[in-house]
Parts: sequence; structure tokens; C-alpha cells
Amino acid sequence: MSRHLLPLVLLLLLAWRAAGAAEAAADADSAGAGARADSALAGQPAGGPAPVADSLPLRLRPTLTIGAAHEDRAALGEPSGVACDAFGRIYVTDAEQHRLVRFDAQGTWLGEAGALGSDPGDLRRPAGAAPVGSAGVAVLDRENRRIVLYDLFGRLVGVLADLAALEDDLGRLDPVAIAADRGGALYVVDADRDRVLVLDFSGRFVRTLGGYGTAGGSFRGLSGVGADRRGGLVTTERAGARVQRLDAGGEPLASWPLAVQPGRGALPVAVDESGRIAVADETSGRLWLFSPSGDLLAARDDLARPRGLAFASEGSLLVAEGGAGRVRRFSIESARTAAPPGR
Amino acid sequence: MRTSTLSLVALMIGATLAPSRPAAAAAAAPAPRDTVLADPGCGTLALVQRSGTLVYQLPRTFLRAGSDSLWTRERSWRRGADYLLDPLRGELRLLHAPVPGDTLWISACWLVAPPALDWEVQTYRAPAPAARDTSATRAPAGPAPAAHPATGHSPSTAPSGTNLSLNGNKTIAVDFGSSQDAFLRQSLDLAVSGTLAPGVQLTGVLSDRNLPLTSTGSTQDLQALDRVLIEVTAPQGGAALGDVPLSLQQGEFGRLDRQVQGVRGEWSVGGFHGVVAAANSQGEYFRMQFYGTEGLQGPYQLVDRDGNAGISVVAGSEVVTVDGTRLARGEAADYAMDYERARITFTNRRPIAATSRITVDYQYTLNRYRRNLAGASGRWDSGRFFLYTQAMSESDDRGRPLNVTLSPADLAALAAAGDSADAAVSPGAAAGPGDYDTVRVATGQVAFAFAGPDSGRFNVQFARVTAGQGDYQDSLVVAGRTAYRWVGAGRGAFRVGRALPLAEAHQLWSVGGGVRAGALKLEVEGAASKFDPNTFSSLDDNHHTGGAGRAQLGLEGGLPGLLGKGGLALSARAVSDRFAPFTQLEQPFEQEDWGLPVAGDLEHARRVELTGFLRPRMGGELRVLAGRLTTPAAFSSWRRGVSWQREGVVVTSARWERADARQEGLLFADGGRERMTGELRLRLPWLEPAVRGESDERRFPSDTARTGDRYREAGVELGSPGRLRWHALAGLSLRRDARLESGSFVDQSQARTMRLSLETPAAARLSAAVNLQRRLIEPLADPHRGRSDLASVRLKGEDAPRGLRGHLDVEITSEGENEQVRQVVYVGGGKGGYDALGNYIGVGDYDVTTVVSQTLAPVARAATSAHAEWQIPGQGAWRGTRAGFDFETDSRRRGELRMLDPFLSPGAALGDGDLWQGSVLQRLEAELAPDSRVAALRLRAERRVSGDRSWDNFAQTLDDRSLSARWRTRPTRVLSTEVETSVRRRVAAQTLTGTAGYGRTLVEESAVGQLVYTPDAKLKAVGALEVVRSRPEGQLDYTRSVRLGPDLGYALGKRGRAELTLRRAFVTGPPAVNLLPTSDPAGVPRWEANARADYRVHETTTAGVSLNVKDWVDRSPLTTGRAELRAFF
Repeated sequence: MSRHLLPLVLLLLLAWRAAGAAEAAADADSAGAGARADSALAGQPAGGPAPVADSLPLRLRPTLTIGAAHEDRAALGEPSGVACDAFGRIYVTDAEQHRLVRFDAQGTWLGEAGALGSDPGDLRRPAGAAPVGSAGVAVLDRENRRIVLYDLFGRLVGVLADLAALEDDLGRLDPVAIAADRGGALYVVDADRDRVLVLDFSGRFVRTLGGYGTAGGSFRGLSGVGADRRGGLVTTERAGARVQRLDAGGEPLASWPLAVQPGRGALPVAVDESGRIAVADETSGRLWLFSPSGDLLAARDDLARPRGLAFASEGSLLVAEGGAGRVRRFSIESARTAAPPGR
Repeated sequence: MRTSTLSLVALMIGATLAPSRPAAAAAAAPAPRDTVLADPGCGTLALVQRSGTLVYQLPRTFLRAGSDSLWTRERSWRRGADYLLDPLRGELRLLHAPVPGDTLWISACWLVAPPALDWEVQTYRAPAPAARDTSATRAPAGPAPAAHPATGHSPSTAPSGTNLSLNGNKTIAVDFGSSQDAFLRQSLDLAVSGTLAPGVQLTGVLSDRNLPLTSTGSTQDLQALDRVLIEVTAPQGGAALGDVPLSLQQGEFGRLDRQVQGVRGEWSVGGFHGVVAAANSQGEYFRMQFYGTEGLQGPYQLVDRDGNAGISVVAGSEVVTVDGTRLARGEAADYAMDYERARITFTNRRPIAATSRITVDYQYTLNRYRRNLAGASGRWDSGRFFLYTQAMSESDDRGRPLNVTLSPADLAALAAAGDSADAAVSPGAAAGPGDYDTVRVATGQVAFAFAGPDSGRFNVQFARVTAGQGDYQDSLVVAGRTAYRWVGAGRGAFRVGRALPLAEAHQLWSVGGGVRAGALKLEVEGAASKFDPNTFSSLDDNHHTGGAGRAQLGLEGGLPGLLGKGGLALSARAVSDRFAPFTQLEQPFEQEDWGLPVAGDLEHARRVELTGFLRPRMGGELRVLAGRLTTPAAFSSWRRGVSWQREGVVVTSARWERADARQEGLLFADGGRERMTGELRLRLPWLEPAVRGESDERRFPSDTARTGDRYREAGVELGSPGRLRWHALAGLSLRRDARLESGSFVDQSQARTMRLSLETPAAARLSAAVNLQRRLIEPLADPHRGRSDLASVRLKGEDAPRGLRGHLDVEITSEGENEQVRQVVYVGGGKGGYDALGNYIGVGDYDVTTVVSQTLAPVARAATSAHAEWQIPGQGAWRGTRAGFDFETDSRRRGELRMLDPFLSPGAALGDGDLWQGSVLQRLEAELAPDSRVAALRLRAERRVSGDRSWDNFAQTLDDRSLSARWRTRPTRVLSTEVETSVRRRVAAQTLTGTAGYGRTLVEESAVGQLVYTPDAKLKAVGALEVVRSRPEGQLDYTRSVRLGPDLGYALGKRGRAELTLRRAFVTGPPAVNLLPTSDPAGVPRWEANARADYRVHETTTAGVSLNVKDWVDRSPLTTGRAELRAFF
């Protein structure tokens, strides 16, 4: 095998080196525009620093913290996904402790499921969680490459989709994020090939969306996906540094830039009933709330490695912060309304 | 005319009374001098914001677009930023949290007489001409009277205060294909939430699927997964429909705690609180209490009340305690439950030893009849008095048996059986293909002997009867069927026959009350029950009722001087031997406290107890107890005890209890228990040392010999105070177990347990959580030696400035697994589905059965998950460059783990014959310059290894290594390219005792390239080329394949998109082979095409159709397709 490897690596390195000079110039040109976009999205005009949220119509006020370290059994290690059902119960995946934890709407621990392993019921670094239809919660069991279904009482229903078995037809998969629409159709981000796998409510593979590319409908560094109330999709790209809104068939509807850097961190996304889009950047700790057309409505930059987002039924935003081992609930409020200080 | 005028006036008044907009200009505007006639189609509405409610239904529909404006007392609201309005339906959605109680005014214009939102097309049919009525007179000329509604209520208008929002989805899909029938898949999901009336909240979901799943992937009963969950909450009560808990907890005799499917309501009025429920019982209630197995965390098999193991537990119905402590479900919590197989496994947070007292209360799924349950409870409190009553009824619906059809002969047998399940048996042997043959046994009788699955001449069923009443005993499980063997007449627990299910009925009513007068408290309770084990039969029906009663008199109050507070309680309880409660009256293992064996009946007993406590002013609590108990089985016991506990800097606790018991009629009638515990703990600022000791001695009445056991345990512990951010604990305990032999206790074994735990602050850059326990069993009189290890290790670190991150998780536990044997039987050329090693190949010469032993082999398990990543700092194209390493292992070993098992190497997984199961994933991945336009690289080396030796006679190993490099460019805005090359080597080996085994190595080299052209959002065109060559190792020639073709996507107007993928493969060389024998074809199809079109037919409805065609050289083409319609609402 090594006799094939060496020429291959040399070839790639030579090509890469030769391309470096040409790219430097192109990067220099784009740096200015990129910096402007970055600062604008971070809530800072390019000309100089300004308060982040002052000019925005809405603000995000923390109202509840779940899973703090002193809460013993409810303590979360590395929350990496969050979902909320119609009754307000909150489901959190904990990648460090390989489990799914349930809380009620007030943040009281209700139960948990899962342990490190690969047997039925086990999880290995679970990533996102998404409500499937109205009576189930799907968990992306990332290293076991499967999607596991639980009911609203946290009881294991079964393996909804075996992603490893799909590799025979689809090639290697690297599932990193999951979303589901109201009908239970599942959308799985395959970071390996920058595509979205679409599965039906029974876990059956239906189609792929996207693929590598720069134009609308294609992805570069696909990292997150969310579904809106009508089956439309919102995607986030780390290398492409943008948000895209697609209709249910994959047709691009809108896109706007996002101030993120290429790399590996999560870019979770969630869509609320009115079509507003929340996006967080694990690497920078930023959180944005956009209108359906991409206007920035609210922002925060003090989150600790946000890895999961979900809108609760009463309109608040839940953020799973992997770096702090907690889930916080943010109330979306008018920036012009006086409100008591949050926790 | 008059109505219009009134409306106009009302609107004008409303507009006048509504607060004006807050703008100063508006406030300062002069009052109009002339009367202005307002537009009747415009007006101002007011609503009060409610907590947690974002969606409000306005009383007007068909609003004029853009005519709306909203404001509160503070400010005006902006459309799109503060609210959204659906003008057609008049649905207002707030975009930020509401301010409860604050009034929101909406000014808008609307249709004065809007049409209905929903229309139904109806066909007019002229009525048939009626026969002329000769008595009818000519109808007067003029218009017919206009129809008018019978009531003023319009069903399309929601009642005042009602504000519900409904959303959901309906999906219908049809799958079809050339090798399958058309298959309909449908789903319906509905969620409704909102306010029914002021203070009355409704939340409900409905889910319907036609493809329910089990954990093994098979389908299950449709009804089990269809779910309706509704919750209504109101200030004075609430109701729930669906999976609801039913908990009646008043008194002692009428308690009930179930998870049911049905409806439950509760309300409170004044001093009264009531609960009613009606439901289908999901299962039968049962309690198992047993001791653990030394070092075995599980699984422990749960059984039904007859001792059968083939049951399923109702999910979420269980209550588990270990040594009196209630546990929490969840594998990372205290235990995990396999509901389908009714098995419980404890996590390493709860170490299980031979002395662990385990109790599991659970419901197992019904397997006899559908069962109905109804219950009601009421409590009335008034000052010093209280009164309560509870009634419940649970009965089998004997007209709806499950899994069986009762013939007239069966019904006659049931009617004649009385209350005896042993008598309710129908003939169970029939000639014909089956699992049994007849053999002549030593006594000269003919008995049935297991001949193998479907290998015998008789089809025989066996019914469980009372132990010692049958002739057979269960033994192995073969291919999922239990094999029974003849053990002698009257020596077994099974007999030939089909057990007929008895239909039960059970009712209970209890009433109680009490009074509190100063320091005195009196409470009494009485209950009556009726339990009919067989409602088919009227025989024995005069033995079904029982009663129970209790009284308690308590005195509690302050004492003079330093005595502080004290109390005394005298209680008496009598339960008749036919009283049947719905839940057990006694605490788990309560028998031991009275000197009765765990299996003894303590439910039907008479007892009197006197308890007292004293809480002196200096702190602490002293408790004393004395009691007397007798049972219908002539068992009697005296029990007394005293305990002391005090918190503070010096924590002390001590307890002594003794019971002297006697079972009349036995040769060795005396028994009892003596138990002592003591603990001393110092709460120092930085350290908390503790020492404790325990002694427990039990003697049981017996007919054969004096029996009893004893253990003595001493331990020391050193821990950190809870106020510190770091938590550490080290402990050591020594325990000796002894057994009563020849009148004296003889030490059998000695166990040493060492515990160590450390937890550092999780938010730090480097954090750790370590829990280790080792338990060593050293032989004394008992030669058994053992060791069990439980551990969990979590390490996490991050150095953000340098871009370094990593974590390591390790779990070690001890479990038990069933031993199994793979039996491969030759059935003739082409008559089976398997090859000689048991691989499914579609058409083969062999059949396979798996024989599973019922005994559990102890297995030590270690699972590891580790990840390390370096995000290399860089600018420009180098941004995002990173390298990472993943390591995942899972290893199971019979007996004890070895030191390196948590870090299992691929070589060990493949070659260690002692390893029961092992799997390893190693992945090294680097991404270089991901933001580069011309040279974004990703390199990956991955190895996945697994070894499975869980069969006694079969083993399989797989080794999959791959190396890949990917190069991406995006030279222009519309062009991008991707090239990926990979080398892969896969090795598979199988061994089956008595066969030559199997081994194959496949080498594969591939390159994939694609050119992506996307001039605009409408069109996407991809040209793809894939070149692969592969060969089994040892074969010189490669199988070469070249696949190429386009991927095309094009927008269908603004509402749809069509996509086409086409591939043509050119294959040369010898035929491709699979790694393992399988029925699936090897290699790639010659032609493959995918076509798909999606179209949004309505704002809320999408339709899609797809078609996939594959064509191989020597096989008929395979076509699959799907048509789907999805509606969102």
C-alpha cells in the first residue's frame, strides 16, 4: 500500500505548493471583503467597535440554566444537541457521557438513557437531537453511525436508521448534524461529502441534497442543518461561510454570509415557527438570530462552545453549550422593552 | 340597517376608548370638530398578552394586507420584527416574548362579511317530484321564507378565550419496484396547544406511523406505537389522555402505582381532592426480590408470576431498589432495562455483590386477555379531621383473549378448573412434524424427547404447573424454542398440554380517616378485596373475599428541659389470608427484619408495634422499636431495636435490632435476626474521615437443619468536603461472610473492596473524573475466588490558544452473556439458504440454528472513546488547518479483564482467542488549507477491526484498513473540482469447529473525480469519473471498473426541481467478489440511473417522485421508485 501512497502524496504536495502563489493574491483581494462581512455579522461595523446588540431590534436574555455542575445527576458533561417537544420537555445529548438526558420545561431532571458502547441502547459521542414528528426524538449516534429513536418518555424505541449500512451505496459517511421536520423526515449532514441525506419518517433513505460546490444548492464545509415548519431547509457552511435557505426540494431560496472561520467546529442551526433562523458558532461562541431573509435581528458572543440549538414551543431559544456543560434558555425580547436582568 | 348602525357606533366607541398611539403628536392633536364617519371595515382590536403564548387568533379574518398596525402603551410594534400577521386567517404571531397582562392594540381593516375559510363543493340534485296532494291548496305567490340559523352560534368562530394553534404533517408515500409489490407508507403527526379558557391550557400530540420499529429493527404491533397524548391543566385540576401514570397513595391497603393507557382526571374543590382514571392495563403487576450475583452487574432476567422468562416489561413501569435505595433508569445512571427481553443490568455506579438486595416492581405485558382498570380516590380535609377512600377494579376481558382462540372444549375445561391453573390444561400433543419424538423411559413409560427444531414426529406443547406436579423440566433454548426433557413423574414443573389462560377479576375498596387533637393523633383504615382467579368458573367462588384493618395512635410533642421533643406511636394491623392488595403491603426484604426467610409470606399477618423517638435539645435523634408479629402459617416473631443519629462536625450513627422468631411445626423452629451498625464521621474543613462497622446475623426456621448466615464488615473512608470544587474519596472495606454449620458460624469467604474517586472542576482547561472499584473475594471455607472491577474514567483537556483539544472516556463493568452455539445442518443441495459456515447466501446446502444456553457466562467489558485534535493556527488559506485522531474500542472478555483491554489493539481484537468480542476504530485525519481555492487537502488513514467469538464453536474477524487523500479546488465562481484517491485492504476470516474455515483478503484501489459547474442557482451540472480496481489477495488479475456519467439538476420554475444522475460502468477482468459470502451481487451495475422531481403544489404541500434503475450484465434490471405527497399545516 505504501508504494501507492508516496507518489500520491508527493503529487499532491507539488500541486499544492505551485498553487500557493496564485492563491495568495486572490486571498489578499478577498480579505478586505471578508473582514467587512465578518465585522458586520459580529455586530461591529467595519469602521470600529460598537456595542453588539444596541442596534438590533431584538435581544436574547438568558432565563434558565440546565445541567450545571452542582446539580449532580442532572450535571451535563458536553451537551452537543438539544431538542424540545410540544409539552416543553427538553432532550439533551451529552457527548462526553454518551447519553440522552430529559428535563422538564423548568429544567428538572426527568431521566436519561444510553451509555458508552455499541450495543442496542448504547451511544458513542451522540451529536444532535431532533423531534421526529410529534411523539419521538431522534438522536444522531455519531461514532456508531446510526440514528436512534426514543419516545417522549425517554424510552428507546429502536434504531431508526443504520447509516453504516448506507455506506455500501453512498460511500463513506461522516454524520455530524441532524434535523427533522414536522412529518418526521430526517436530514443528516454528511460532512465528508458536503451533502444532506434525506430519510423518511421510517428511516428509509430517500435522496441526497447538495454536494461540494460554491453556488447556491451546493456546500463547502457543510456543518449544520435545520428544518422549518413547511419542510424547507436551512444549512450552514463553515468553509463557505454562509447560511442557505432551501425549499423542500433542495432549490436555493436565499443565502447570506456568516462570519465564521473554516475548520471543524459545529455550526448548529434552528428555525422557529415564524421562519426566523438561529445560528451559533462553536469556535467563536457567537449566536445570531436572523430573519427569514437574512436580516440580523439579535446576537450574542458570550457562549461557551455552542453545539446545539432548538426553539421551544413557547418561542424561547435553547442553546447547548459544550464548553460549559450546560443548556441555557434565552428569551427573545424586544431590545426596546425594559426587562429584569437574566441569570 | 339597525345592526349596521349599531356596529358603526360600537366601532366608533371602541376607537374612542382605545388608547391612542403613544406618539406625542397624536396625543397633542386637537379634538375633531366634525363628526367623522369611520369605515365599518376598519377598526381597532385589543388583546391581552399571555405568558408563553405567541400565537393569537384575532376575531377578524380576511384582513387587508398592509393595513395592520400594532402598539402597546409603551411603543409601536414593527411588522416582521415584533410580529407577523396572517391576514387571511387573522392569526397573529409575536416574535418576542409576550409581556403577560399587557394589552396589545391592533388596528386593521377587514372584510365586513368575510366568506368561510373552508369551502366544500356540493352537487345539487333536484328532488324527485312528489305525488300531488289533493288536499293541498295553491301556495301563495311571493318569495320563499329565508332560512335562518337555529342558534346564534357560529361554529367557525372560536368561543371567547379559546386560542388554539394546530400544526402537523401528513405524509403519504408509495414505494414500488420491479422486485417488490407497491407498498404504502403513511404518517400523521399533529400537535395542538393553546388556551381553552382563561387559565385552562391544552397541549396534545397525535402520532400515527405504519412502520413501527423494535430495537432489533423488526416491526411490531401497530397499535403499540400510535400515540395520543393530551394534557389539560386548569387552576382547580387537570386531565391527561394517553400514557398516564395512575398513582393512588392514600392509606396502606389501597395503594396503586401504574403506568396506564387511558384517561386520568383530578380536581380540587375546597378541602376535597379527587382523582379518577379509566384505562387499559398495559401489563400485569409483579415484584421480584432477589440477591445479586457476586460481581455480576447483569443482565438479570425478570419473569412473570409463574416464573416464565419469555415476557416483555411495560416500558417505564419498573421501580428498582438495591439495598432499599430507589434507583434511576438510564445506563449512565443506575441501571438499564431491556424491556423487550425483560432483563435488567446495573451500571458501575451501583456495584452488585452477592449480598445486594435487589427489588424490581414491574408490569409485564399482557399475554392472556385484554385487561381494564378503573380507579377513583377522594380525600377530604377539614381542620383536625380527614377522611379518604379509594376504590379500584381490574379485570380481564374474557371475551378478548390474546394470542389464543378458545374452543368450546377449552371453555368447558376452564369452567371445570375452578381456581386452579394446573387444572386448566388442554391436550398438547399432536402427530405431525414437530420438535419431539417418543422414547421409552426407564420406568417403562413413553415420554417425549426433544429431537431438534422441526426434526421430530410430534408437535408437543408443555404447560407450567406447580413444581413437583409435572413430569418435565425446561432445559436449553434452541433456535428460540425452549426444549423440555422428561425428569420423572411428579418431579418436574411442566406437563404435556396447552395451558389455558384464566381470566381474573380483582376489586378493592378502602376507607380511612383520622383526627388530630393537640399532641394526639388517631388514624384508622379498613379495606375489603375480592380476587377471582378464574371468572370462567363459579367453583371456589366463596373463597375470594378478604379484609384488612389497621389503627394507629400517636402522641407527639415537646418535652421539658433538655429532652426537647418526643413521641410515641402504637399501631396494630391485621390482614386476612385472602386479602389481595394491588401492590405489596410490605417493604422489600421486610421478612428479614422479622427473622422470616425472604420467600416467606409476610403480607397476611397480624402485628402490633410500638415506636418512639426523642430529639433532645443538644441534637440528634434516638428511636426505639418493639413489635410482635404472627402469620397464618404459625410463624411468630418478637422484634425490638434502638437507633441513634446525630449530625454536626462529629457525625455519629448507631443501630441495633433483634428479632426472635419461631415457626411452629418445624423441627428447628427457632430463627431470628440480629443486626448492628455504627458509623463515626468527622467533618473537618479539608478532610472528612469516617469509620464504620456492621454485623448482620440471620437464622431461619427449618425442617432439615439449623440454617443461617452472617456477615461482618468494617470500613474506613477518607473524603473531601462537599463545599470544595475538587471531590476525592478513598475507601477500604473488609467483609467476612459466614454460614451456620453444625450449630456455629464458619467463615466462608473474605471480600476486600477498594474504592477511589476523583473529580476535578469540569470547567477547567484540564478536568478529570475517575471512579474505580476493585472487589477481591478470597476463599476461606468456600474455595471460590473472584475479582470484579468497575471503573469509569473521563479526562478532558483544552488549550485554546494552541488549538489543542482532547478527551478520553473509559467504562469498565462486569456483565453476563448467554453462551451460544451455531449449528449448521446439511439439508441437501440447494435446499437451504446458508453455506457450510452459516453465512446467508440465498440458495445453499445448509440451514443454521443458534442454540442459546440459559446460563449466563460472566463477561468483563471495557469501552473506550478518545479524540485528540490540533487546530493549527494560521491565516489566509491556512485557516482551519487541523489534524485529529479518534480511537474507539469495545472489548468483552470471559472472566477478568486484562490491563490493556480498555486500549484494545487491532492485533488483540484479531488474534486474542480469549477475547469474547472486540472492536477497534483508529482514525487519523488531517485537513490542510480547507479555505484554499486551489489546494484544499484532506488526508485520512482509518482502520476498523472487529472480532466476535461469542459462539462456542464459531468465530469471525474483520479488518478494514483504508488510506485516502482528497483534493478540492474552486478555480472560478462557477467551477469546482474534487479528486479523491484511496487504497483499501479488507481481511475477513471465519472459523467453525469441524470445518475448514474461511478467509479472504480484498485489495482495492480507487480514484474518484468530479467537475462541478454551477452557472446559477437554476442549473447544476456535475461530471463524475470513478476508476476502481480490486482483487482478492493471491489472485494476479484485477477486476477493473470505470464508471462515468453526469449529475444534472435544474429548477422547474420557482416551485420545483428535477435531478438526474446517470452512470455507465465498464468492467474488465475477472468477476468481482465480495468480502464475505452473501446473497448480494458483487461489483457495480453496468447502468445506473436516478431521476427525481420535486414540486411545491401549494404553499403547504410538496410532491415528489423518484425512480432508480440498475442494470447488471447477467441479471434482470432492478427498478425501484417512490412517489410522495407531504402536507404541512
